[in-house]
Amino acid sequence: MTRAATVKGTGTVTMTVTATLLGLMLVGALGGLMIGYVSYGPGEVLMGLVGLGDPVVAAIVREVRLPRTLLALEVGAALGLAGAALQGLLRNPLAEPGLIGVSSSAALGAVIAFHFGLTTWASWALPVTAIAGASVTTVTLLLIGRWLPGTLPLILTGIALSSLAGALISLALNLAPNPYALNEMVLWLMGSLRDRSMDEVVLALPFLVVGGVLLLSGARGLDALTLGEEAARGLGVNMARLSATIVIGIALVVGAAVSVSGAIGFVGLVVPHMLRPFVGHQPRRLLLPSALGGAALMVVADTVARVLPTNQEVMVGVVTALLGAPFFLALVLRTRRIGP
Amino acid sequence: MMVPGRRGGAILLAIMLAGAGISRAAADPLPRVASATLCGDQYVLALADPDQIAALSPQATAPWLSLLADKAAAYPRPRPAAETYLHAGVDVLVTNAWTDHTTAALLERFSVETVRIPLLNDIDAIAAMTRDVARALGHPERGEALVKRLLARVAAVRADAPGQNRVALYLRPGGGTAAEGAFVATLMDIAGLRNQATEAGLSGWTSWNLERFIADPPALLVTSFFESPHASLGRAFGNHPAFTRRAAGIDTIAVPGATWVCGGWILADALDAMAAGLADLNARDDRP
Repeated sequence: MTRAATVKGTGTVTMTVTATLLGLMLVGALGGLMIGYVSYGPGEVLMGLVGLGDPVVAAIVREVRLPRTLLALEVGAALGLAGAALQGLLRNPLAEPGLIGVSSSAALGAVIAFHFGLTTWASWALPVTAIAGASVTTVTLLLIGRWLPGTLPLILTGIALSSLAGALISLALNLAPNPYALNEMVLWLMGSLRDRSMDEVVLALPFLVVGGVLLLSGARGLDALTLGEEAARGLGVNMARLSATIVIGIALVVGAAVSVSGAIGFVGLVVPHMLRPFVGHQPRRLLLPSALGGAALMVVADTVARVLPTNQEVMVGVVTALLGAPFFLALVLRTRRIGP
Repeated sequence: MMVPGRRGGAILLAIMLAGAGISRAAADPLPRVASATLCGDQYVLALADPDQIAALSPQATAPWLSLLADKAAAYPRPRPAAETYLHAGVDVLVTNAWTDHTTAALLERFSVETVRIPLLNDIDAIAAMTRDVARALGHPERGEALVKRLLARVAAVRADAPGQNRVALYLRPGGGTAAEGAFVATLMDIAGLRNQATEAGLSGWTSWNLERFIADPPALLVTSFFESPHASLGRAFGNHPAFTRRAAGIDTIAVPGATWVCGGWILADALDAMAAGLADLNARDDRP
């Protein structure tokens, strides 16, 4: 088979995967709208969405489930996309915003804005400080990654930064002072989409769109980077510009997502890894499917969190961690087998 | 080997922390007391003499949490720690039954009596606890007076039953509610209210669902802690437009959180607040 035919074939596969993920995402979203305290049929949900039928059903679907579902899609897409981009930028398959401290740093920024009154001054202070937190950690990881290449330094640095962010969140909550400090820590570090409204959906959206566009615009550069920095430069990639674009993009999407949901882990790890066998290893082919896959995974995880028969609703971060942590362990073992 | 006695411990520490000024009149028959928790603060402030009180909890002056916040301002409010209480020559520490285990164990080695208040949801148990704390603080008669006041309020409100069988739901900003077995539900029952959470088959301290609130709104909301000045991610339920818009159209009695921050004698004030709110609603409904 010629190279052109292979590329064309891969492109078709990518389109098929993308279409499948889009379908899964829509089915997941419909499920999210149907399942809750009382389950409704698809007909009732669709009638409710347009404001027809039983006014109680319409109110629940439009005011409670729709914002929550939209937010799950936004946050999931952000984390899936950020995971794929981060893995491309750091050229490391274990890079994930939650695992290496980007999400917890964003949560730290959000906690500072939230608990020290910045959000009463301007609501956008919440995503902006979260974005700042995510930026600091992403840049630190990038610099350390250049200085000490390899998986181990990256993961160890990530653990250190993650612990530091967790400790600073605890300190900030204690300084605030916040009588719910312990509960707040869990909420920020495990993440939840419970009882969110359109306010949060609208607040995060512009940052997610801008960040998403930046990440997708860097896709070709990330493709070149898979060959190494030298080779990428040889192919005409401006590395400083590419790094800045990706770092800002990751900070924007992770910061905006974390500021409305808390730090939800493992989505950015699981989704790109599940998709690589289908779309290949080129970031260009992986980014958009990862966003769609992340959205689909998050909306399903959030629905599972809602329907688990527990006294208190399980946080969605618990569901993603239950799924992602064993996955991560399996990846580590596989990396060890392949590695030197 | 010398085992430090009740006062010996304080004296030993006074030597160790020379010049720290922790002397305590040996002739004083009343124990020096401290509280490490909000609930303990209310007991200590209500029962002890001012010069008995060595320390209160750091939250004792928060007006939305502490019923006797004004009174608390006059006393030290150090961070709870065993050495703090030993340094202050405390003889009796009042604290929660479910926290500070190591602090209590350490203090007991220095013969400091620790009175541990469990989460009580039953009026008789609260009366017994009030008597116990009062005895430990050296004022059993004051404890008896507090118990009498609480029981009298309970009897009066139960007889009056101002709730008139309204279906009511208790809510905190995070969506937390109280069903049968929790003291808030006990007081709602005394006031003659039907508890929607209990009738839904829930029990104890539990949570309500926003969708359920929209589908089946109660006739009356009993709320607490909505006046809390702190922003919290856990308040999403109370901040949700789907809740705030509907809650604005439902009769609401906001019982100050400080009156039922724990199951103690302070519940008499919570009952008063609830009864007063219900009396206002009844007067409004009776108007032609």
